[in-house]
Amino acid sequence: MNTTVRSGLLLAIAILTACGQSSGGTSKNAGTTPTSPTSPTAPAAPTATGADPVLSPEPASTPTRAFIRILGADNPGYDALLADVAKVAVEVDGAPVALDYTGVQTMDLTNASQAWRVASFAMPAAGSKVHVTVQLDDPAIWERAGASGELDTCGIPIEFTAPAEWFALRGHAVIVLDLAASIAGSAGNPVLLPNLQVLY
Amino acid sequence: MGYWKTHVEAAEACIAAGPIDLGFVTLASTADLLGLLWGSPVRFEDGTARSDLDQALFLLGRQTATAICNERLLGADAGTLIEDALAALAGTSCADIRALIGPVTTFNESLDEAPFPAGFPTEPAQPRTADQLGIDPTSPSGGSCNP
Repeated sequence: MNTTVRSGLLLAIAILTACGQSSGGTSKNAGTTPTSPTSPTAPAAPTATGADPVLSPEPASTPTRAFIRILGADNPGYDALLADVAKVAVEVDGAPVALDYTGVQTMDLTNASQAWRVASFAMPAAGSKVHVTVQLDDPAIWERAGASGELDTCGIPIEFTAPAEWFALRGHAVIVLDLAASIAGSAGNPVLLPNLQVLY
Repeated sequence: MGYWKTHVEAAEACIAAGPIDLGFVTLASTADLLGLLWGSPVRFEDGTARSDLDQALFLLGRQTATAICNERLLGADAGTLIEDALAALAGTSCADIRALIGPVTTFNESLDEAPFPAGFPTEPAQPRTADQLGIDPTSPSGGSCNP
């Protein structure tokens, strides 16, 4: 399949507060910025060379599962950017669904050839609408030229909505996080303001 | 938390001062400590999803472990925060547990710019090494939030 469904570009609005102040732990900022799919036939966005982490479908052994993945893109020069997720939630037609984390591990978002598995859920029925929320755990850790530090990920979560049919295309939704455009603030105290596309 | 998460020698020094008993888990090795700090709030090491209670325990547990290391090696004084946190971690009230995550995190973050005492390990950060060394020591409690 040569086409990829691409959601609208999401530029997160900076609504930042300290994660530690939350009664809900690391998922304090519950700002909602859903994106609406724009075209089911939009051309594929540029991705990594080699085995394409977006266009490669999920294994045939998992036809009944829909996967959520994250791919770091446009790395501004980090040697490593290690991140995990603090919260994942999926609703199908407004009802929360059970998630599976088999095979999920700490992500190195500088690896442009790896779309990291975040969670999977039962492939929803055609005609249903899927809403996904992902909050990265705070802090993520960056490494660059022998130095290392924290990346504040306390901003608003990543959220998007898509029809079930788009997940069925390749069995996944890949959140392509534009690192260069998403990391703001000073070099010593960078902040993540998710700027992303969701590819199917 | 990020400092202890990325500095293996510092983590070793903290554990060398004795195991950290958080109630729901005891950190007896550097791998345990790093495993907790690099662990995921949503899942256990084997991919099993954390329950609401287990997630709350994990979130407060890692901050409490950090606070204990800060007291042990940085000479910080958390007042009664650590005792309060350990008391909450011994129960199943997610409200009580979650209410302490913010204060303990704030205490830990207040030390971000604190000077290191003499003799403190000053090796460079090794985030990837630390991540690989860690083994999440937590396991499902089988309990649920009350309340």
